[in-house]
Amino acid sequence: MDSAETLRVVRGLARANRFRLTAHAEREAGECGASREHIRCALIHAKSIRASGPRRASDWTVVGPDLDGDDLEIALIIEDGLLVVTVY
Amino acid sequence: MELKRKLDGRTFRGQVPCSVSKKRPELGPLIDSHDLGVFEGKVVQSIFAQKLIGPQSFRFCRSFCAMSMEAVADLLQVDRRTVQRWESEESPVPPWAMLLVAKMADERSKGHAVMRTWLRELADEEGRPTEIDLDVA
Repeated sequence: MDSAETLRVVRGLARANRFRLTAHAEREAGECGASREHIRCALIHAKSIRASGPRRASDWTVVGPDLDGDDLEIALIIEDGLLVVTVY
Repeated sequence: MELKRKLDGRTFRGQVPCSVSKKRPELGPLIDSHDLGVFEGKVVQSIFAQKLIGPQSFRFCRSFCAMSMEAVADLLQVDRRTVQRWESEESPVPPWAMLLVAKMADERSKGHAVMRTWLRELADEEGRPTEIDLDVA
């Protein structure tokens, strides 16, 4: 899957609410008072994607706007038709 | 697994189920988006039931409703900058605004949107009847 195709998959899975968070990502989101909808919004409207690199726990890093239009960078993997958000 | 949210000096705690990735068990416990939504729903229900007020609680309820600052400003008929001031603690969140947003969030957590629909219709001047027949019998 190339980047453009992966971006389409990310948006579709987020729209269908098919994502999970690692405990670390959930804690990060909670600490800055973000709700699930902030993350979902950024994933649905993700505008760029890049491979995370070999030393990262994630496969992809996407950037998209949250509910307030601020860009969020989200690291994730795609597994069995689910997004797994590893870093928020 | 225990989830926590700290809002305006209060800590909300709740247990949610978790799973582990078969391919990447090193990621540790995973929280499903649905279960996170249920937990957040309980948080907003508690905010509404206990009549809690504060900038972080307001923002959390607003984002639980998947509303931008602009969207909530339109519904409450205030300027977007007013909402920004409330959330950044430049000015206190008025009780009426907290009540409306907490009520919308509480209803959304239960699958309803009565208050949101009512506010949307209230903000829309056009299309309102000028003559209203009442059934008084």
